[in-house]
Amino acid sequence: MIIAFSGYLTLLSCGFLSLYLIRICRKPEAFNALKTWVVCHGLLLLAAFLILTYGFITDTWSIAYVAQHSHSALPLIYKICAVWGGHEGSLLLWVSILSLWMIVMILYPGPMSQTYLRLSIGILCVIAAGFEWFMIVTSNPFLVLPITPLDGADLNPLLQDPGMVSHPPMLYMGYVGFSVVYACAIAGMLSKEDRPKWSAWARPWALAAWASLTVGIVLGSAWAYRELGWGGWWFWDPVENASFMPWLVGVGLIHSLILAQRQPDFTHWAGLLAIFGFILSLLGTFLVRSGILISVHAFAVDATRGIYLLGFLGVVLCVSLFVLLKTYQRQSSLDTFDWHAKPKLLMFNNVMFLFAMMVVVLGTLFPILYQFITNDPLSIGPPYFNSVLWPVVILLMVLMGLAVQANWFGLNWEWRVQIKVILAALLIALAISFCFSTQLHFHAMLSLTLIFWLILMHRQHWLQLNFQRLPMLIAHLGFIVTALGITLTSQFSEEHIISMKLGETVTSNQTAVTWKKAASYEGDNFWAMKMYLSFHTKNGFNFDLHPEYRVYTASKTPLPHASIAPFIWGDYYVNVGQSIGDGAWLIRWQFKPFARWIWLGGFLMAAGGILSMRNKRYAS
Amino acid sequence: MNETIKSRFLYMVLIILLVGTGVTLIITALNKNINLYLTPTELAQKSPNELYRMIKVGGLVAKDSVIYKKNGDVEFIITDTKSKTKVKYNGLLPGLFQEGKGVIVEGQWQSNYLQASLVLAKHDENYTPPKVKQ
Repeated sequence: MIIAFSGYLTLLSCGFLSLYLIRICRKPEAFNALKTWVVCHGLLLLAAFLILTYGFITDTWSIAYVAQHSHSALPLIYKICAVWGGHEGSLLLWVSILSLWMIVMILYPGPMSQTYLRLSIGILCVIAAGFEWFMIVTSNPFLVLPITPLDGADLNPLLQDPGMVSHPPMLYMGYVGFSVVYACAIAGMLSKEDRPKWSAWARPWALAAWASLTVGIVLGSAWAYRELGWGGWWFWDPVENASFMPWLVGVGLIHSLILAQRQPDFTHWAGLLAIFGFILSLLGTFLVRSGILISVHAFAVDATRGIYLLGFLGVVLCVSLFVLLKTYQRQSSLDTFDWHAKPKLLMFNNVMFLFAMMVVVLGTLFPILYQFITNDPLSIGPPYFNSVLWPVVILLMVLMGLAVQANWFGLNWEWRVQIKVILAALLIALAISFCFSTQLHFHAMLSLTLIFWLILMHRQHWLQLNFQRLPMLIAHLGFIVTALGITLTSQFSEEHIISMKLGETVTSNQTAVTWKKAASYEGDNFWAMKMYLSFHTKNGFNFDLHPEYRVYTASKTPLPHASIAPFIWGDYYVNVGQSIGDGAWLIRWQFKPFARWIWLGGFLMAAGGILSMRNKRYAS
Repeated sequence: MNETIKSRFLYMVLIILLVGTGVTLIITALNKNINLYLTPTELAQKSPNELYRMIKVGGLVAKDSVIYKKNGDVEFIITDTKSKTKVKYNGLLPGLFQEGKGVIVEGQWQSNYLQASLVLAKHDENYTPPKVKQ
């Protein structure tokens, strides 16, 4: 009772404090007070967050949110993670991270002018106040139940994974980071004297947000791969798409911010992308939390919340587009047809990323709109995304290869050299392709050729190893590594479903699997049957894998636990299916070539982004 | 022709070409991949020539209806308490798949059964597909 009361009181005071902050942002003389109060606001939210965490650790079932998302047998680490296992706690995490970004921004503003800083902090305060009052009015995490239950309803078993510790906070770091970039852009457009400079000031924040989002997506994808048990790493699930849309805009944004410093007329374009990035982050929050979606992620079901968020979204969109149009000054950069110069290639890159974003938005929202209008649900299958985005990625790779060789005025293109490069790439691609299969796949060949062509197109940069170009090189290398992983995994994976009894050996595609032993054991909150399988692969590798069939006791949910043998050149992935009688069990094993590279590349991209934050080449 | 106008004209052509290709791509892909979402009752009311593309059917797995065959073939019945749909599938059923619980099946209709290419069970142990709940 005391916990719930003190928590609610803290939250309420945050709500009022953020309103006060909006007031004092306007006054230049109150800048020092603003600094202090922004830090206090952050500390108060942290306190509210810690109080809720304390409620989870001490099993305070009188708080409705705790009772819905925890259980006394849950391991401590998952009790802490359960804080963001549902709608209310996720929102609390959202604002807490926002207040953290605000503190960092006001304490380390870099070269920003004070007026500009006050304006952007003010915009962030409005966003924070919006979220805080939304929580206070519609989704209070400290709501007390009239009757205290004996035990909690348990955290969803799929969420009981190490991924739950890091994936949501990282993802939210990214989402919330885009609101900082948005505030920078809007403040830049509103203040006349700072308009040419904001793109340089916003750049480190955009990079930080985008890098966090990248890490968040990678962690989520690796988690789904491990936990969902199909060996898939991306499902085009609406909630995955929700994180992917701002990411696509983010890539466009960080490239256009480079461009904006050379060609000031691109500042507005960058502003538009910043607005899109923020709107899509809000949409992400909306999609996950509204319950409109039939999705593996939608654990909250409440329409009023969705309508509130949608309204918030509409207001933000209208206001920011109004600001953008109001401050727009027409400057045409289409007057010379220099398509091969770097600015134009970067512009096409932006257009392609925006197009990709719209494809994903359409595929994600179309079923929702359709259902809203006709009341008949339908869904759009993953082939839609794959078939439309594949040519986009191919074109993007071509643009990337040209753009890294082009300078600001044009491209030095010698056919004799370039043909040799293309042939070399084709040969490497052929060699790699033959390692996996004797047949030629058009998709695989084209992607592989382009990937190695890209590596060769970066050749001057690899050889010079210019320190200032290093972040760009690392990020581009990350893209190449991910593309290679995706191509090889999706084209050359193997899958075998076998039924086995204890002691049997089953050989498929020259790989022998032996079931040596079975054991049952009890975990903290589940019962498990563990299989001891030994593998002897066709290239002579021997290893053991231990997939498990688990039943979570609190909710009586069965959930197989996959076992993976990770190698740098590919993963062996085993999953237990069902018992099919007579002591026989279904088992599926897969070989996923270069699966690790997908996530390795993601981390490289994020590292490139972080390193680029302090790059002198683009500092103002 | 004036250099500026020529350049703008070329960009315009380029943009129209790109947008045209993009829209065509999207429309063809959408046309192929929109899946109707049905309950067993709605499925029973459809005529076979309406069911030429992939469909999704949501319902509860009927009690004692799951039969495992050789090589990972499995058959089960999903129901919305009024009608039943027979489903055939080859592969591993997902972790949360249980008799009496909600499931969504995606596949091709084969005159008297659904050949599933994907079986989805839901996170939430209390989940029932929305239409069945009503």
